[in-house]
Amino acid sequence: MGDREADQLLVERVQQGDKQAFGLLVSKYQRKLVRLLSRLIRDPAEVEDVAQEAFIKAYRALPGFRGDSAFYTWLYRIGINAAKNYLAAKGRRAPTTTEFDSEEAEDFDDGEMLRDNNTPERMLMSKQIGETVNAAMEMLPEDLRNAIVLREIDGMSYEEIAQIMDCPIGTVRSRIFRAREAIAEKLKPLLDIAPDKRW
Amino acid sequence: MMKTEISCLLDNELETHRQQAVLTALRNDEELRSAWDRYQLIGDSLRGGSGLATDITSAVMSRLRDEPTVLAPSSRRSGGLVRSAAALAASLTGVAVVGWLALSSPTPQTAIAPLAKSAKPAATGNTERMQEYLMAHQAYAPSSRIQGGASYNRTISATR
Repeated sequence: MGDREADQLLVERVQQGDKQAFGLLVSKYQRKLVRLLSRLIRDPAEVEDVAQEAFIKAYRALPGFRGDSAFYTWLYRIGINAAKNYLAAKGRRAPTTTEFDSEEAEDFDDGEMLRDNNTPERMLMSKQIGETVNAAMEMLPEDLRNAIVLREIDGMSYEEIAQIMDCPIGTVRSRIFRAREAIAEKLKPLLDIAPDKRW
Repeated sequence: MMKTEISCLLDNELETHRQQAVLTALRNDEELRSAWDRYQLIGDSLRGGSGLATDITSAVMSRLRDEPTVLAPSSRRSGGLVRSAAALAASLTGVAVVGWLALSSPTPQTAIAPLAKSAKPAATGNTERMQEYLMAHQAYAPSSRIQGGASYNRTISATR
């Protein structure tokens, strides 16, 4: 099951009335959408407002989503429109770099192109999260580190990883899970979930 | 165990028969949703994404509480349409068959009714001829094949 199929599973769950399943999609794509909108809107607070609005619009439009495109491609278009509408309401115009085709949307890599529009506090928090993850990775046993790198960075399937690491798929599953849990444990002090961040 | 399955779900590697159960568990358990959030963040961080401090999920879900629950009317409707169309087709077929049977030959009842009406003014000559007609044609009536002589008996008794 690829990413597109996984998203379709969540979409269908939402279409059956499970609102919490939409939260799983928000959690998955929020940062990607915010990075996209940051190319159009300077103020980080405004970016988050527009991102929220885009997700709400996506939720309302979900009954009509048939899976003809990938979920993120569809969400991307909603996000772009939300940003344009927001800017138009403010009497501003979006930069001309909004005209991406859907293939670009799917492979959108914000990399160095993005101006970092975060506040100093957010930049510090982002930096700390990144550093904590990197430090936790360094402390992982090699087999756990290799497994999670092959999965998260190289995008390989469990089967492919099993072949590369010459181990059963069940072992791959276990190594990736244990790597995530070890890193998550190090992140906990940074991410102590405030009551207003729970969902 | 459940967190392992959430990790698999995130990687699109969860067995099909476990998907709904795990999604239901995520719906009902905040701690499991937090695990999902953390795993997503770890992946974003490893892939070098910026904006790691972004966290708008709770704000979006809070707004969604006031939204009507969406359902998939197109898929639900298409299922209903198929069912309705089938029922309608069956009804129309049934009506067509009944209509055909009704039009193809007179039933004893329909033959009796005008006979009974015509019998009331007591046009006895016509009544007798009609009875003869009906008796002669009983063999060709659809009901006669099922009920044999009974319809004949009813015809006789109805005219009396």
